[in-house]
Amino acid sequence: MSGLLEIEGLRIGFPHGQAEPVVVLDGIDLSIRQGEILGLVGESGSGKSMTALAAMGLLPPGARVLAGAIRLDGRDLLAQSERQWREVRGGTLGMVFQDPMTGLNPVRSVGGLLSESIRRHQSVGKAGALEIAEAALRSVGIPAARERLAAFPHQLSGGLRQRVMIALALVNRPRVIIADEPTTALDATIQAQILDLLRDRLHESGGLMITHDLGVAAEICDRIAVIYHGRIVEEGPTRAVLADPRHPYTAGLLAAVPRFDSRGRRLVPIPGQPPAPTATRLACSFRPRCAFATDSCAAIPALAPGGAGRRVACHHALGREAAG
Amino acid sequence: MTRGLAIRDALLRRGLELLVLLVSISTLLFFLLRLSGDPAAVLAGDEADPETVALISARYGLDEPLLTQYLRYIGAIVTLDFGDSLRSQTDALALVMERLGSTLLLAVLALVITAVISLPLGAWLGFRPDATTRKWVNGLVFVLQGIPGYIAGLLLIQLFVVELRWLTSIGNAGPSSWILPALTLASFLVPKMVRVVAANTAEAMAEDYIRTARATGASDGELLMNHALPNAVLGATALIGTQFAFLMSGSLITEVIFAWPGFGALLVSSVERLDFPVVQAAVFVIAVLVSLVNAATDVAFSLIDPRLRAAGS
Repeated sequence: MSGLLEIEGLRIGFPHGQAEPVVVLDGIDLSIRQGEILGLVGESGSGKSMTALAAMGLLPPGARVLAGAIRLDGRDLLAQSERQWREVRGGTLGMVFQDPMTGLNPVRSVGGLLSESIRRHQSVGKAGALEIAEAALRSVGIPAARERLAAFPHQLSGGLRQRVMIALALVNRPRVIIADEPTTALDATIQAQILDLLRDRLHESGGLMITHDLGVAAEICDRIAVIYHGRIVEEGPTRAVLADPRHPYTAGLLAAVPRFDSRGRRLVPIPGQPPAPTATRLACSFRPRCAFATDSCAAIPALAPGGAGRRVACHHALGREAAG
Repeated sequence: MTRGLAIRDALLRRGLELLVLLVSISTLLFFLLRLSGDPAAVLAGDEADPETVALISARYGLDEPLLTQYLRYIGAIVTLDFGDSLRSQTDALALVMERLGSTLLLAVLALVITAVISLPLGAWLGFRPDATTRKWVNGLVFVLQGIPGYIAGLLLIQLFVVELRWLTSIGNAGPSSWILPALTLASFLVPKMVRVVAANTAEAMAEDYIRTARATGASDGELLMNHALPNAVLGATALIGTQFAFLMSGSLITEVIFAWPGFGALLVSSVERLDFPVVQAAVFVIAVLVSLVNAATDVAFSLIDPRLRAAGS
């Protein structure tokens, strides 16, 4: 596979002294092609945000890349200097964060924030930067874009702020945009608008959509990767994964999602709790919560191809073959 | 709401506050001073006979009923007439204004020194959270904060005047005599300011918007200068506002050490001699100044923080 953004065998942990590092991401493989949106779906603590931060080179203090590679257009990001990272951040990789209320600097105007980033990555003057900024605001559906350049975050609604955040991510025409729970902090009606916008804008480049919400992933993602306890457990085209989940965890997530046609039917929660992100992996991490677990689950299953562009990491993969 | 309107509102609000403040302070001062002793007796001296005291009382209107004195006093203050100093027979307000320049000079110099030292040091301290040097500098700042100003002043005199003979330390005799008293005053403020700027910078650096700025490729320097500091200086501005009152009235020890012809010394000697007109004029002027600085702080706030522009309406 030749993706635009490729993450290969990424292991991230927190080393302390001589002891074994605490591993939070254990061999993540992901690939995003041009014009494709990949959904990375998982519960909080599963490692999905850590994956996004690693791709931006913005790991929290103490976290280290223990193994693996992150390539953008074939270029190894992990081998580059901090200076080269700064060119990538906001330049070839854009990022949209979850909370537009706290994510925009209260003392900086919208135009100021945008043109600071534009002038960092493009060789334009002040006036040129403001023109690009205005165009970016228009491209994310902000009315009266020119006047809004002078606005400060507190003068904008939550939906508008998130549009500004998206404009900030795409203003330098990045190759890939990473969106980390971009609709979680918004009202339901605004969520739908922002998802529409993201579907359009992220398809123009490539997109990594981080979410805990299968519904959000189903709405705009071409493919879905399900992450559990720092490992990808299932990956494949959105439609196929949702209609015919292979991993018991994916099936469990789907059974726990409320749907319009599920009226009268009880939602089935997954029993138990997800393991702590820092817990060591001795067996399949889902084993204690899994209805299908057997003795063979004592061995950590590898993410293996399952046909039709699908991969699953389970000794007892579900689906048509298993059922029939 | 525009910047200009916000500033006008802030000034109007402060103006009204100032009016109320001045009336209250003048009233309080009038009665407090009359409770503390008979100025005619002080003026006449310990040996004076009752007739002399009565004569002096009559001359300054001190024998009239208190209410009459008060009304006359308030009426005079409205026209900025505080009367003559009981001691030197010259206009009290003029006496105060003569000292104002010296004190303001020291205060402004001290503030400039404080800003020049505290902003970079505080920003650096708040920005580098995992350096061991941070622990040491923090400790040093903490110790410095505990050193009384007169010790700092005396040490400075010993070093620069007595040993090195670079500077003078007596009175207001040109720029070389300004440095040491200004440094002494600044030594009160610098540790406080460093701690405030450091705490605010560290707090700002942990905010989500810093991560957003990082994700647009901002360097450490840009994060600090363009994103964290504009938020952090709000706290420093507030501190300058509150410390200015201290610089105006509480710099007595520094003024005594350096024989500085300022406000603090005048105020204390006038209180000792029950020189009402001078005390009243001095306190009045300090109240006006502190109010003006508070108004300036408000304006600075609304210039730095756009949210306050909206909140003021």
